[in-house]
Amino acid sequence: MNNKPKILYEKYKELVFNVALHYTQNIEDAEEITQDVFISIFENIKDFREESTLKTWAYRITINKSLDFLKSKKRLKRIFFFKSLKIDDQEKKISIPEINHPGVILENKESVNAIFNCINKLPPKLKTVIILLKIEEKSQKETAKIMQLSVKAIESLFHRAKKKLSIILKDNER
Amino acid sequence: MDKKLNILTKIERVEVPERVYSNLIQKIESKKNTSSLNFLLKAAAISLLVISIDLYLIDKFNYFNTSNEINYEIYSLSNGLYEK
Repeated sequence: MNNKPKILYEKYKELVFNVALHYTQNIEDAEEITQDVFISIFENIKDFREESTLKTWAYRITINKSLDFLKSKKRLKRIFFFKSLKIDDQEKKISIPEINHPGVILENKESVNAIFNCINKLPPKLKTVIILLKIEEKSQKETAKIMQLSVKAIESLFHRAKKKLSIILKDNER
Repeated sequence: MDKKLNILTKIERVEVPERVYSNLIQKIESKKNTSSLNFLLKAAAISLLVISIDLYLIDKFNYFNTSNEINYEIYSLSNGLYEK
């Protein structure tokens, strides 16, 4: 392996790992996604057309890999749930996803976890908008570039995300 | 809602553990090994296919030869060629 991959890794490791962490809220899963993202970056760097910056490209790959990871995890959970139903009817408990984001300080833990619980119930695009605008603190223009949408579309997605979040929050409080 | 979401901006950046890079290198190496093993398996499968086609053709050719010989014998007998 030559030096270029290591340089790329050093430059974008924090970005990739933290975005993956925002999606999964779990270190082990974020580590796995980070590795998959860099494998994909190293494999496809030859085909990278400079229509966007490398940073935007890294964001896109991370978002896609994180969403794919969560989708396959959800599928696996469903399979295990149905298997457990067959084995023992009394043990049918739906596990609550564990939120353990190491970037959350202790005093905010409870309220952030409550919001993450709601964010995790949002459709992928709405979740991505919240993560990019609110946690990554990207501008609407930057978010639009990463998501390959117009600024207007981002505005409307963010509005929809907030509306949906408040409904989910109200439901959870009941 | 905006107020509730603003708490998300207080999430701190997390440092990447050292093990991630070494695990990444391991993953890349094992991927390389798997792809070369896949290549070997494909090559073996193609060779097996070629050998079985060869065997089938040889068998067919032998049958064709023997059945031709039999035909010739029947032809010879019916035309009295053996009587001479």
